Amino acid sequence: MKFRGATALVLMSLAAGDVNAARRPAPMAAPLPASHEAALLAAGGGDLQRQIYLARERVLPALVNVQPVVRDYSSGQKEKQRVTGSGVVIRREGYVVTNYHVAGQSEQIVCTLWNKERVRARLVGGDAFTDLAVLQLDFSDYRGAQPEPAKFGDSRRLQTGQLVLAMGSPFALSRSLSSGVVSTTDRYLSADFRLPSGERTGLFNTWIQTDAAINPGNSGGPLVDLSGEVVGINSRAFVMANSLGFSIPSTVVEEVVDQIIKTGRVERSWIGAEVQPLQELEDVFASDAGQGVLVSDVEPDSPAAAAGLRAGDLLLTVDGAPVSARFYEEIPAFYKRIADVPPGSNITVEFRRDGAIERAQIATQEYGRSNGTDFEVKEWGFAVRGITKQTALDQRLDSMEGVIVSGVRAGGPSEEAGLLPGDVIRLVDDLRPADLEQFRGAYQERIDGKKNRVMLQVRRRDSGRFVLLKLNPAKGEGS
Amino acid sequence: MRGWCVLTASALVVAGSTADAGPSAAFEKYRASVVAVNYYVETSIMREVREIGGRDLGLLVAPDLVLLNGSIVTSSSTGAQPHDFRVMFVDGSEADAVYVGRDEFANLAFLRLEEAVPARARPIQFGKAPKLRVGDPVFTLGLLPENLQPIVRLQAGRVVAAVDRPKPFIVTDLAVARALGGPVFTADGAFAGVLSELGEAGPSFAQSFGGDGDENAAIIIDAATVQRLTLAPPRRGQSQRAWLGITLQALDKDMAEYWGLGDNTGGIIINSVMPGSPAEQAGLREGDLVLHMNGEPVPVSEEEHVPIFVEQIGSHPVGSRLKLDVLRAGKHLEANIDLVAAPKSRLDAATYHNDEFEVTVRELVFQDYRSFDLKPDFKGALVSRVEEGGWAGVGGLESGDIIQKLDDRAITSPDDVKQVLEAAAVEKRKKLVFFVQRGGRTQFITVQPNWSGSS
Repeated sequence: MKFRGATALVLMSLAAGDVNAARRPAPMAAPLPASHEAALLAAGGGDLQRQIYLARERVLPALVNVQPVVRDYSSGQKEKQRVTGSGVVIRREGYVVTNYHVAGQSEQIVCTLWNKERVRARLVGGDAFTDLAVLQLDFSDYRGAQPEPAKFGDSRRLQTGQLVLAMGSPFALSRSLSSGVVSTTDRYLSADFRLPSGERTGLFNTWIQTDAAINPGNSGGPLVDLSGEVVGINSRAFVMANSLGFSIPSTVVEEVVDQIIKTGRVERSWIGAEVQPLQELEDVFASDAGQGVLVSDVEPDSPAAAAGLRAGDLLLTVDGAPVSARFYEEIPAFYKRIADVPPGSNITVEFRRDGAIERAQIATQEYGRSNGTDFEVKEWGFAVRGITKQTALDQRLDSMEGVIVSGVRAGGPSEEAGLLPGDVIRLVDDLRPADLEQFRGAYQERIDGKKNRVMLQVRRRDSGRFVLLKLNPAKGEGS
Repeated sequence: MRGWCVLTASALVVAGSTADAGPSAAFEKYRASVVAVNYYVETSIMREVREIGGRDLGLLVAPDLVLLNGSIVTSSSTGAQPHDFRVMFVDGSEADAVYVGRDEFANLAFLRLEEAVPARARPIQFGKAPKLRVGDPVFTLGLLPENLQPIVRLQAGRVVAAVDRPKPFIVTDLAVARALGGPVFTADGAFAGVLSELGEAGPSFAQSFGGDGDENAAIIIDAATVQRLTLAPPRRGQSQRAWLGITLQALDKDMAEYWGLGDNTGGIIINSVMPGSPAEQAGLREGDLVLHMNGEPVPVSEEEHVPIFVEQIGSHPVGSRLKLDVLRAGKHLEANIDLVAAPKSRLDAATYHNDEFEVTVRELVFQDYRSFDLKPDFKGALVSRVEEGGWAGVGGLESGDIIQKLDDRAITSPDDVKQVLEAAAVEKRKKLVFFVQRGGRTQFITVQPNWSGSS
């Protein structure tokens, strides 16, 4: 996706960095009277105004200001950063949904409820592909009223032009409400608009676009329709644009939340086939009435490749059900259709190739995470990340072997030796770590052995490099 | 003709002063060898590609050869070759010239004149090169702004440093503006070499100085190098430089110590071996240490010395054999490498431009196979330029795409693309489907020409 024009547009995920704003007492309107109904009627303004009040009242008690401490390894060491986002209580027992980019990789989460009470929360699980995370509030030291969960609405019924409210903590100003309309119900955004932590997102969903004001800090907050149901989770906006906010549709949120509460994660199937819109190519691939999904790429060594699928095949059915994607907007749904199959099961696809209809069985694999686990290699002055299947595909690595350098600490021994972020460590002295676990083992052994020289062999783009770390364990260098 | 009049006048002035040798006489001698080179080059500003005109100094080194600073050839931000070279001589007369090639180490390029040199223009004479010491006065010629006659001015300076390491070269305080590629000579007119920039002594050499921020320090490419290249000018598309096909780094003192080679004086570490290269054929592997080459120690103990080693290999003639003493896992091995010419560079790749589709494609070269991570048997043609508002651009083709198929034709070269696009023009094809690789993934792109519309 490209944009042109005088203003550079940047799609931004919307966690706010400045948490001090939240500590300052926010200027508040007078507290609500006990009898809301009476107060709302007294406020006047007709039916629409009353509907807005009622919708607000349904969601406000579930609204949460989320302040996690986020881990960041990009500087080569574990840095803790306080951020502010929004969330909404969505299930009993204090389950809160927010964005993955707010709290998905966090610790020490503090939440402020609608009644200004602060409670701690724990991370239940997160999913980068939909940018969602689930927290659970810890009520053990809390004496106030339990927040009433908000209800999910049906985002499939949303209409362009429909009035919606956005609630959350823009710039950490908690309990803020803004209003607007649904600008479009199925905005496609390329997964190349990544999360701040580098993960691809939006592969399996389109977005609700709204002109309700959404600012940094709104991330994870609810988009609410006038019946007071949560129809989306506000996640991102184009900065330097006017009123271009994007929310994850509630049908997607509901599924992900339920899976995370049940198992702590979202399980998906992967077959290694990429598809593209069929539009303008129907006649080339002999599609009847524009039906079918066009395979544009098949990863080598993937389940799709093993099943004999290749670019140019036109998928007609998956397990007997017709599939189609003429436009970009229809592609996330197709990927989701595949992802929803339990990993390890067989799917049957029918496809057209060179005019003939063929059939293949594909044994799906677990999709896996975008990013591997982070680890600070403290004494050596850098941070690494495990290599997942998705990392290897994304970075075009020829194997999943080794670990990838995510950051190099300025002034540390590895910076001096010439290690660079993105380097893939293939060899530690003469040991070949297959994964992060083995790398940690090799690291620990050398720390215990008080080694003052460690040789790393790295892959760097299309060449390699030997990097000799000069350490001084006696002085405790690097700590 | 206006130029001629001015020239006559200045020739008269000079006539009075030629009696005594010295800078004036030398100026008179060298100005007959200096030319102004006009050319066109592609540049992209805010994604818009434009042709702009360029004018730089050139040096007549043989009756049909003009030498230029090599950066002119690589200056295009789109990677395209400058073209339509026109050379203006001392007497104001002009001649067409074609690009011959560029030597990447000396960063010197050559043009071949397509017309005879006028009587007043004279190639420089390679004599005995003067021995330059720090403090010696040196001179060069720089171009004057366009429309002035004569076209050159004299510039005076001194030798300010004689560098030994990582390789010997002379530094001068001569100003480089509009003077790069000019002849450097002594007060008595002896040819010392050609003016260049420290940062431009060659791409690999420059890298080792990268970030020093001293690009304006002028150096002299010595007369012997200039003469050697003049006798056998590098040819475009036909590398005569030998290569090994490895990437390497210096075996520094700490590294040597780590591998138990305490008293070692240097060597190189092979950190990758390119598939299909002479090094691979000779059985070299990543991690091999090369300590001796043809019986001589490899004196590379600092990263800055690596380019010198690379240049050394490059200076061996193609077809000769290198004997390397290799240390692998503590054991000494001998590797014999038959040197072959380095693969064609991007600059030398064959290209094809189609005006109707407003797209330029070029041949895939070895470098592309490495940077795009392509399998050795991969075939295609690389899109090097697309006009954003042209048919191909509107269809979604982007520069950097590698065309693998075009309609039903498998694409292996720019010529294949040419044949399909030309056939499409004859048949007035309504739609063309490009199957391309972009960012490691493939996709189909539909291009719909508008044959009836005005272009």
